[in-house]
Amino acid sequence: MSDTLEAKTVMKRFGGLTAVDGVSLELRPGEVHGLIGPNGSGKTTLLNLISGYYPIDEGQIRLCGQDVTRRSVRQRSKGGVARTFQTPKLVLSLPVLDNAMLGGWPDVRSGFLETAWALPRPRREETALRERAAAMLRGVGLSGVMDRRADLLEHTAQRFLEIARALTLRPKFVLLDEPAGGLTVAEIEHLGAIIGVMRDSGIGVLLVEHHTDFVFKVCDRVTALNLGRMIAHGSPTEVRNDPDVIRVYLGA
Amino acid sequence: MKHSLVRPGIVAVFTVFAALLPYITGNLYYLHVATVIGVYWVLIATLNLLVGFTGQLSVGHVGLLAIGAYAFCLLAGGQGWNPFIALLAGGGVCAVIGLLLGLPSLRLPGFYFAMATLAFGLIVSELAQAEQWLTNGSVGMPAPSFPAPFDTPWGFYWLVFGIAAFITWMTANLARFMWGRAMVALRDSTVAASSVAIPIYWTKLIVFVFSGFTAGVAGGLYATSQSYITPDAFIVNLGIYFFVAIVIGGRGVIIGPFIGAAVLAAIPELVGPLAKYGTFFYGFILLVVVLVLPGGFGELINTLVEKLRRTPQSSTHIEPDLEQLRTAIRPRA
Amino acid sequence: MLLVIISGLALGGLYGMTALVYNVMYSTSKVLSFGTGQFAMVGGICTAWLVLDLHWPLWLGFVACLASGAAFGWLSEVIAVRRIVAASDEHLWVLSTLALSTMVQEAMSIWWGTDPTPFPRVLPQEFAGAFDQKFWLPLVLAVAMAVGLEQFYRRSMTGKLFIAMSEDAFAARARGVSTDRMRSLSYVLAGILGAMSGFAGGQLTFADFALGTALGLSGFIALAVGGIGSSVGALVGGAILGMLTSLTTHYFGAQYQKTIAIGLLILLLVVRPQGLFGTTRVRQV
Repeated sequence: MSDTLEAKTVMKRFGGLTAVDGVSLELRPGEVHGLIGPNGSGKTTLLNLISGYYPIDEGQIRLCGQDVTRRSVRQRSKGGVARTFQTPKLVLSLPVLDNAMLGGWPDVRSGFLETAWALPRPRREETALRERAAAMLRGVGLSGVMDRRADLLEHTAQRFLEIARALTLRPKFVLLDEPAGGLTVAEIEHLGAIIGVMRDSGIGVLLVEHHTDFVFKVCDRVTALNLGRMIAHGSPTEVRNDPDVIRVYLGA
Repeated sequence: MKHSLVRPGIVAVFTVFAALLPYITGNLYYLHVATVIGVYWVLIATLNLLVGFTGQLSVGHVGLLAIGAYAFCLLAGGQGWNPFIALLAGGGVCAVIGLLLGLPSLRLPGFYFAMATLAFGLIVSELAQAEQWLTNGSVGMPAPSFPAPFDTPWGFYWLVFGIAAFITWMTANLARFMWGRAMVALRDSTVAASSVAIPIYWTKLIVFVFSGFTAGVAGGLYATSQSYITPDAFIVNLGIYFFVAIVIGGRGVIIGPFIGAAVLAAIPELVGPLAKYGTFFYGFILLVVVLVLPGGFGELINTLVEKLRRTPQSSTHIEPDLEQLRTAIRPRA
Repeated sequence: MLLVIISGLALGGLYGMTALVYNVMYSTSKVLSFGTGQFAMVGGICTAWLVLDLHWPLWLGFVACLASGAAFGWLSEVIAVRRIVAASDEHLWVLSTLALSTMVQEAMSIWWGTDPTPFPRVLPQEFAGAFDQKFWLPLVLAVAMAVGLEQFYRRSMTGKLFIAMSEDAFAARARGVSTDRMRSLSYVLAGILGAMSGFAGGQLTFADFALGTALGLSGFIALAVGGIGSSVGALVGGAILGMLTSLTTHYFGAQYQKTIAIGLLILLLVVRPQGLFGTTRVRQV
């Protein structure tokens, strides 16, 4: 029985443009997988296909051996696929802690009326989730701002909040969409350490990133895309020295 | 959520004041106004969950109020049911109708839902006029009152007060636990909501059905408070009033709309000349609040409190605690 | 039976015109205004007042009717839309246009009264049963309006800019299009067209303060059935709804008009959410 998140020869067209063209990718638990490529190479599109925001035209997405190609975003999240977004998607009118707690929604068993009557179960779940989310926030370094409304948070802190929300979901796989964008050198270092802990804890991390030095540093395997196709795949060193990758990046 | 003692204090003072109102004012007319506000609140409190929290603009709740009122009068008056059972049955009927209305329309974009509910409101008032065999048409029908001790003006006031308090308590619970967060999340960002597996459509539907139920209960109480109902009582403009109360009070705040509802209901009653311009006035307030203060007064107050309480915004310094993170991700596994 | 069909088509023309007015405003602002039906109401009452009460000549009444629509259209953009569009929150524009629409309707009911009053004859035609002007005027004008709008979108610079904005407002602004001015312009145009539909349909609907809400709803149903953004769809959606309304009234009585119409809307949208002639666009992230 497989425990991977797999994309098999995935194809996506937008009108006449083929954004992702027959790309395959396997994300294993306890592994950081980098996805690089120039602008418009289809990285984020591929991530949206894997997490279910766009339907795919051809190919298959498999989660732990199960075909989830036709499953909704919600079902995939419940199945343990969490993600962050290029521009953070937070509930801006709620405090930071509440945003992180939302990640615990799949574990909420209390029904609507149970909650309305404040029976013991919703109370218990509330306390447990609050602790879980708070621990994640302290873990990613947001302990000082838990009560602050999310819209008063700086952009970089919002990125870390999204990671905390994704982790509160207790996911098997986390898909990070350009998490280093706009971060300072020190913050990128912290991000790298957090990703390291995620890997050590057995989470499979897919890292879509522009910042290639960072990718080569933290990833175990790297896939490079150009114009929707896979041009290289392998260890960071292999991909870094791949002639096609060099050509695409240096524009020869 | 960790508020100081201020908020429970205000709630306690207010509750005692509201409970003792019949002793404070001897004036039966004021007591009637207070009762009607309480009846409206039974509807508005849960409509606020739908509009303010979940962001679904139901313009036609007045239709549910009307159905609740007619169901109550027919069952408790015509069929001789116990008024309390009839009240619940009216709520049940409206919950089912809310389900039937929401099932298709909540799948569609927000404006479609608003239009579908507007149409629903218009349909109900048309049918109330036309279906004379059921509703007596424009002649209307008398509303039964509740048995002792709720058959006096103050007895009935306490009944309404008790139901309103119970429903407020339920909405406050929904708001403060995970369901409340889920509602706000799907209002603010459907993308974020689906990324944490919140069932967007079902959540909207459940909230709509719940608000349908209390709208039906409010309808029964409304009928008794007016002692006689005609289709004219349920014009769409009343729906605008519910709406304005919520928008003024502020979305995402439980008690804000109450102040909106009380002020809006009291003004035309107490300042006679305004009654004629009532709906125009509601439209005007709605426009001003949307343009100037889109979060409503509730949010304004929240922001002010926040400003007072907090030390100046320190820049967030991000310092991960990796050990904590490790144990948090895998809690003894 | 002929009368049933003709009056259905006439109503359909009126609904179709309202749907076209929705489209004009939607193209530049992505706002579906709750006040769309009010243009026709204001135009109709304005004409009835000037021509029947103040005895203005009809042509001058018509000009004034269009002017009232233009002014109202422009005002609604300034008051209820301009600041809201920047916030890009559907919640807010639904509320602001609802507020403005309510205010206008209430103001009219206080000033003009709540009883429908007659509308002047437009052409010196003897009453001619099914072929009377009150039936063919809205129908002919609806077709003319759709054709005119299509020509406008295809031929004129302004029309092309409307289309450009509806496709991608950011790109249009980046290319130096004054999107604020275009939006204002589209609302003025919408006001004029809406008032014109009120003029054409005046003999059918009378000058009635409550017309706006009913027409706004029916026009929206026509729009949703036809598909947002499509002129042909607006006419077809209007015709379907108009015929259905007329047939329902004939066979079951007027009280079921709305019930059946809304039933149709919901049924169709569940099956085909983008409408008959619409296209879907999905873009979330």
